[in-house]
Amino acid sequence: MNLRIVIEFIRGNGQSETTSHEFNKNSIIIGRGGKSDLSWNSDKFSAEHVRLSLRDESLFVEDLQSIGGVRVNGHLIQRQELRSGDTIRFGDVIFTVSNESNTWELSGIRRELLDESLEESADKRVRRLDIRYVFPSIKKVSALVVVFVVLLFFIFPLLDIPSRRGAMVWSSGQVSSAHMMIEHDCQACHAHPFKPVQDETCLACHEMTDHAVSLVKSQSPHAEERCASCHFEHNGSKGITVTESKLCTGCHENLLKVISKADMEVPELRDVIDFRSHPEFAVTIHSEDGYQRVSLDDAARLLDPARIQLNHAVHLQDGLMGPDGTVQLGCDDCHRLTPDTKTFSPISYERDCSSCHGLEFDERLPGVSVPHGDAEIVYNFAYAEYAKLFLDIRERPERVVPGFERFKPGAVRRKSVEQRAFVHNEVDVAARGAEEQLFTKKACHLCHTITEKTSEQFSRDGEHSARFIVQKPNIPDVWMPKAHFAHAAHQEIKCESCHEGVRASESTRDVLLPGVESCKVCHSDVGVRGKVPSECVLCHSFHESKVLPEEKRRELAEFALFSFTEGREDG
Amino acid sequence: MNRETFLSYHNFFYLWISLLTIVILSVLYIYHSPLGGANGGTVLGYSYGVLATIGVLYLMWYGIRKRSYAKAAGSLKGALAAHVWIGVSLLLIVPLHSGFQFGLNVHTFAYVLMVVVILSGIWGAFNYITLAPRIQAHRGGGSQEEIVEQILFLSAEIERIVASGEGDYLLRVMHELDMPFSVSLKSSLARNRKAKELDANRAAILLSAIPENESDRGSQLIELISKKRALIRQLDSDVATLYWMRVWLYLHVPLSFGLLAAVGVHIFSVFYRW
Repeated sequence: MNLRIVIEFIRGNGQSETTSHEFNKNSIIIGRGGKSDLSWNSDKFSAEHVRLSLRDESLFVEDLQSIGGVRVNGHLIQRQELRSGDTIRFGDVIFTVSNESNTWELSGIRRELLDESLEESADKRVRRLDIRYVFPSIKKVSALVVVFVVLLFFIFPLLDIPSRRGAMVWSSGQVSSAHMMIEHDCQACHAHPFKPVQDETCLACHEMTDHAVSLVKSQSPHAEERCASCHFEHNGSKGITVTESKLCTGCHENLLKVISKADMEVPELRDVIDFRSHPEFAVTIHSEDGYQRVSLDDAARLLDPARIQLNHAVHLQDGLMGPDGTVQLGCDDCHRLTPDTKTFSPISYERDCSSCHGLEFDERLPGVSVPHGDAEIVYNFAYAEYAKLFLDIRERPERVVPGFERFKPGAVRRKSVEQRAFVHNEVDVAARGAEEQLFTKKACHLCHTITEKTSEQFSRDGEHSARFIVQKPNIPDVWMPKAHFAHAAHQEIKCESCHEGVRASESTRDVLLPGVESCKVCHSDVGVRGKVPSECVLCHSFHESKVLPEEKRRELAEFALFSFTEGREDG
Repeated sequence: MNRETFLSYHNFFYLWISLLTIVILSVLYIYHSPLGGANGGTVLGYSYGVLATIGVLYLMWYGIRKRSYAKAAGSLKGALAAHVWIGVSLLLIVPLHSGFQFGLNVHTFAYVLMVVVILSGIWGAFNYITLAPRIQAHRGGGSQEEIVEQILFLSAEIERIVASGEGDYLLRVMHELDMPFSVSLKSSLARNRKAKELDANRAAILLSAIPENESDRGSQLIELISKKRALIRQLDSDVATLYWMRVWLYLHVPLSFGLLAAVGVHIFSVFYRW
């Protein structure tokens, strides 16, 4: 015979849980504690409240002198046999009796006792409904939050916990890509607490020219500026350099406000407010006593100082005669971009002129051209060629050399000394003749400015020196040294569209550079719609960088050490 | 509404002040174009940062003012109106200070804390405005202590009647119709004011099953149970109302101290690594 007791326990909040107990004994005691086989902790039960016993196939219930009593089907009993369907009540439990296949089952309900008695103070009781007593105090929660914030965001970064990552919470933004490998090393730049980033930390790795010399001498507030005044870090992909024009126009809109004329590197420099009102460009013209800046609209002084003759009009004309018939020359035929497309290669005689302007000097020496070089070289080359020519005469009898007759057999020969002197003289005469032709009548004379040496100069240089001096052409290669112009970026535009008047230019003295108006066709200040936005730095540079000296260079391995994934001994 | 609330104090005086401030600061921000873009380190950046810090400190001061018995200029309600509207305006002043730059760092974290604080404050203010009338509505019956005592008393009465009855009929009635009750915030909120009234049909059916000698006690029982349920419902409503009027403070106050700490760290770190 088995006895099973199933209890459904209903809690104060309405939830319930069911437990089941199986007994194989013939009698069990139920109560609050003591010797009870099944006990519940409730004031409503006596220590040993009731005994349930099995005899044969009958189930008996007995009251063990409990205080609350035992009721079967509502009646108080002392001892009674139970039948299927009966209800037993004692303590705080009510059972229904059932019997199925040799198992007596008592299924019952208990309800959670209110643990408050009416004696408990009412206001204490009601605190259990008040959030201010149920939740942890606001003060405690606040303290917890503050401790959390201070620990995580102040202590840890200050002490660099976890190593090198801790301080990242203080970073005000991602650093520029070039500085990424030192991103976590705040002190690489912020070397002194409570002081702005100083130049010395930048110069620990970088090498810079001084800022414009004038700036250093000026009274401008910028004269004491740090690198960090124009280079802003922690801006991620925006990059580190500020390109806004007002950085420049801050001084350049009224230069005399910040520097006296005496201190200015270029005293005639004009003020600039913005690109729209950018003054006409000025070119730098070098002369023996230095250089001058001449504005493109200063027609009187705007002269190309090159000592060379070039007539663009002739070279660009239709039907120009070349070595093999007519040719049509274009700008590209002589003006070539350097491989880095930044500037033009200087005009080279060999590459650009020699195909039409040859330097042959004697019909008797076809294909022999003097080298395009110094007058001394030219003279000595001609001399050497003529010498060779005379020495070769036995091989080339068709060449007629004056004064060198064949002698009849039996005639008296001249003395070799005289012969040598004779040949020497002839060569000298030929060479001098060629020299004169070249330098005064054709070839060199066509393009170069040539002067004849004075007798003092000639005697000083020696009798085998040249008689002429070629003035150094000094063809300017950079007209505007303070501005960069990327020709490659402007390839879609025809050269003559900006370089106006080239086709009509007959004099080398013409300066054929474009003025600011041609730029303004496409370029204007930032914010002007329909125009290429052009900050000052698009064409001008504030300072150039210098090549990093050896002592500032590091091993590659050191850069790996900077990164997160490697450890460093000093943490 | 004639009644002046803590929001509409003095014809929304503090709302207009805050709005005006925001407009002025925004206009200045739009016209100021510093080198390198707007950020906390420009002239405007520093100024707005100082303003926002003063704002936060003023707002925190309300907590002190609220508990102080010292005679102070102006009323507490006015102080609360200022607290609310200045607090809301800070939502915009801080991004203006930072040039709308945000990142995963303590600086943005401080702002995030501030946003949660302000939003929880708005939530609280909203709760106050909507729930306060309800408090007055329920207390017609008595204070919470009285209601709880009454419910407990009724529970005991119900048990007594059931215990004194013969048979199980009353027991069944109690099981089916009574609502278990304990004094707990959690269960009160869980019931969520859904303590429904007795199902009258069910009650009638159960009553009809009771034998003659018990029927008096049966109807008495039902009456007690009905009253208990009504009281529970009233209590739950009161408890819930008070809960929603206070719970937001558990976000608002602790996080505002966290905010104070975070702002302190922000200011320190910005100058420590200038």
